[in-house]
Amino acid sequence: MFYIDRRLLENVDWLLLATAGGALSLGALTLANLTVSRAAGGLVLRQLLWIGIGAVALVIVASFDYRTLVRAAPVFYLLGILGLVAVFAIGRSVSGARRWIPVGPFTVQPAELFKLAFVLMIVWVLTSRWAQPVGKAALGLAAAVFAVPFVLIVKQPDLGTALVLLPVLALLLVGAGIRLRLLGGLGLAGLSVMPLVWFVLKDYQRERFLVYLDPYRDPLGTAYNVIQAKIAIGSGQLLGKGIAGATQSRLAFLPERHTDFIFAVFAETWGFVGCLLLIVCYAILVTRGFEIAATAREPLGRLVAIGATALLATQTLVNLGMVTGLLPIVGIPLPMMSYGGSSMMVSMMALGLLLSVRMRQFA
Amino acid sequence: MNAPGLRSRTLILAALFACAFTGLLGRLAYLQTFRHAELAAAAERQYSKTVTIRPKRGPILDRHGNTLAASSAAESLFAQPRRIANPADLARRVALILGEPEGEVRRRLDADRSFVWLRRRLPPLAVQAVRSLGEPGLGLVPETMRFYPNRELAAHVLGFEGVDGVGLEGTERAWDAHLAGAPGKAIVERDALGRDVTTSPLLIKRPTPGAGLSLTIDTTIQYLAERELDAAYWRTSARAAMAVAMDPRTGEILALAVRPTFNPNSFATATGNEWRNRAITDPFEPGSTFKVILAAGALEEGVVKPTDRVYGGNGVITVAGTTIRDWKKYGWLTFSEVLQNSSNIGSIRVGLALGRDRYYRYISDFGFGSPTRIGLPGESRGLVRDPRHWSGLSLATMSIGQEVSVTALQLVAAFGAVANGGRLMQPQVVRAVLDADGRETRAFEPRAIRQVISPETARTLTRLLVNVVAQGTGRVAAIPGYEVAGKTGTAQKLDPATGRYSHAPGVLSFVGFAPADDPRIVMLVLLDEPKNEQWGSEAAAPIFSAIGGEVLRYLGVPPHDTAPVQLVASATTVGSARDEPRRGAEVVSGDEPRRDDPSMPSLAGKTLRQALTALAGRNVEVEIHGRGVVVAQAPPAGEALRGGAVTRLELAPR
Repeated sequence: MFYIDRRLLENVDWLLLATAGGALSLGALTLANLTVSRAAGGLVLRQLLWIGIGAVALVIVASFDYRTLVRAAPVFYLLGILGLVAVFAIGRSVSGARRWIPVGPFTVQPAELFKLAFVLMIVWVLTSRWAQPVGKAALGLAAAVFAVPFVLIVKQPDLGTALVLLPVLALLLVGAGIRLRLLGGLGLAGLSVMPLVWFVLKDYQRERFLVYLDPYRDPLGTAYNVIQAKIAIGSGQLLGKGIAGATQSRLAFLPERHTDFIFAVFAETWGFVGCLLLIVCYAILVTRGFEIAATAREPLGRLVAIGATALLATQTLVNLGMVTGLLPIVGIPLPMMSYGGSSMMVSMMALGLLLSVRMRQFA
Repeated sequence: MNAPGLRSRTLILAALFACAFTGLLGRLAYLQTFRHAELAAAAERQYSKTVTIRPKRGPILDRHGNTLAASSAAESLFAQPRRIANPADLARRVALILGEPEGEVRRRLDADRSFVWLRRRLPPLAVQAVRSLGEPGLGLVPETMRFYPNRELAAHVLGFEGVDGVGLEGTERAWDAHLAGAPGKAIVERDALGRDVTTSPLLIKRPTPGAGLSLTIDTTIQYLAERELDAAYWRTSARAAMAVAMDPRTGEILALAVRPTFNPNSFATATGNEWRNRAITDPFEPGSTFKVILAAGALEEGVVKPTDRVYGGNGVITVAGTTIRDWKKYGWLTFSEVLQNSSNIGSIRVGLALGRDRYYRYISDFGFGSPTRIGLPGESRGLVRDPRHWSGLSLATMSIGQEVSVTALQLVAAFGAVANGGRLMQPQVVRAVLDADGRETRAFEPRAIRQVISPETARTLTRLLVNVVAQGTGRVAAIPGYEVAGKTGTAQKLDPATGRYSHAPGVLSFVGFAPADDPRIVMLVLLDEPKNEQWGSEAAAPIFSAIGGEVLRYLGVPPHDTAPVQLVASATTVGSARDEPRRGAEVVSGDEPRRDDPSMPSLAGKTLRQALTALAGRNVEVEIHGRGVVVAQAPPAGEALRGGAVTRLELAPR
């Protein structure tokens, strides 16, 4: 099962791995920097452990033929749905949201892991014979596959994670060759029901949206993060304050600084130059992902690559947009940098999928 | 769609994402360069006004755990002038609560600022009153208030805490880092335009309380010293006065009283003249007390024996061409008598015999010329010049305690060494550091600095000093019932106008220890320029006697005239355990419940000496049978004692 053909090894995408490694090490460094003076040094070790486990997962996923994985997609999907349902039964509640299931010493976030199952399942649906040619029928099937987990995740509530599924779905449809007019029309229809969504949102979600429109509406409440993140990023200037740059006092203001807002810490420490490097890493990784998709041998490989890339790219962009104040706050971690095991596993396995496609494009 | 079409579609997606990342970089460049200055500046002022929250300062306790300084919760009142609709009306009401002039409050409320303190550490009643105003422009931040329950007691040892939570004097200053704890942080203001401000601050970081300190000070001894010193200070209109008491066995400072003094609860109204701890900051010329240092060196070096005769020169001696006169004409004196009468000429002769370098070595070894490192701020090292800079006259004048200056603490420590068998102990005022729950986290053990003179020399010198008090100039320092060793000192001050020693009363001091054979306390009493003093040059000695007597009784040291100890088996003797005549005022009964307790104590298992001590002051006759420890007593423990009652004690060998 773990046998990898030598020919496959020759096609390992080192550029992809190098950029991912860059982001991973910058993330670990930032975590270490954050926790160096405090008792929470264990955070870095745990993150390094997750990176290690993630690397193993990456190799395992890459060693599988992606076609095998897509064939098994319905099983993953059902298991994923099961996990999402289980959250309601045995989930652990943290600050008002049931998102985690305790597993031994760790907690697992089923919604995170479900993203991968979702990508594979959509690919499975779109390449199935019922969806050919890709059109309204495919759209309907995909919508059904999307709706069930979406509702479950929104109910946790974890609107951010649920919303990430949407662009991933859209990109997969585009990649599968759906007519853009059909997708565009759907998008417009979606926008027209947006005002109705307002009434479905919870109070804190509405508040987040209003704060996005006007951050100074409630500077110490909901907008506190946005403002503090902006201050942290802004004070980083061109070259950053450096590791010892007396930044910790300011950072102590920033909640979630080791998870969703880790980029603000990074930006303050390393300045614009550091940000440039990091973002180039992510950009290369994402464009490389699409390149793998474009050069894939058949539609199935292309879609798997698009799905994996879309997953990484969407989360990265939404997180960075949110931290820099371009998008409303939705709780989405930065792939490969934010602290968190589930998120790390998903990112690594997505990279594994990309590698799996890449290595087999000439086989 | 065909494969090439889908391929280009995919590449277009890649391009779109690349554009998105470029846009993100643009945003970052905008934030990190263009808006950098604005964002950095805005941080403090505009978005979040933070205040530090004082942690609760650790308490300072005496050696028995009595509170000398403690912090209690208080709240500080601030205003946000921009949020106040009607400053005139509010100023009127707030002024009433704070008891301040309305105009002053109004001025602060009108300030064009987003935040202004109105009063730090508000009394609880005022807090209630402010709350009931319900004014959104006012807010309260929790803080702590330092309280010194004993007011002036040991004020110079304690020092005080300033308004901003920093210890400014004494132990409060020296141990500030331990006592202070770590401050917390809270946001009191929500935005620059004054919207959404609540009166309850948002706590961001909880303050950590400071560690406590246990001092070596004994509140009772401190109280006794302060009371007697205070009386003398006012009676003599002295410029300053001080009393320093130390346990010679450990170097622990038991009391340190200084006049003039201040109340640390309202230190702001006091001046530096009042809060200066003169016992360590102000060196003085010791005068005759310093002859003891000379005697220690001379005896240790075998230069002189107590019985050796020294010629008093009929009150005149010429050294290096200068004639020095004694205060009284003496002929031949034994060395013992030289000290007894405090003969200057005799001392100078001994000093010349000891020699410059040896004398200097003993001065240094006794700790003069270097700070004691007791760990209180502002300690002076005194002045002891290097022998190379001594003039021809220096050895002579230093032999009588001139041309040298010492602090009270140095002198107490040096006498403590004599009392402690020649071993100089490190003076200490802090016994232990306590954690938040009052447990000792770090204790300071007594530390010997060096053996200055041999135990034999110390014993010989002690006998000489006992004679000083028994027959010599220190007679008024005697404590009935106890053997006191000590020495008086008088130093004329240099008159700044003439540059000569003035004839006005200068620094009068007495340093001594008791009981001479097993010293429990060594103490210095000093009066600086006392006026209308009946005791003349011995003014400090009776204060020593008054404090010392009460301290020894408080410490439960048995006086040796309490009972004629008859330990003859089977002989029925009647001993007297009457209290010796009391001197001075009564001891505060709260400090010594034992003494006024009219019931029979339990004596079982006690030695005869302990039993008699326990019965001392109860005015009973004691019948003693046998020897060893008490095995039976009549009347039994707990029974009321009538004056003159006969108590029967049966003793048996242990």
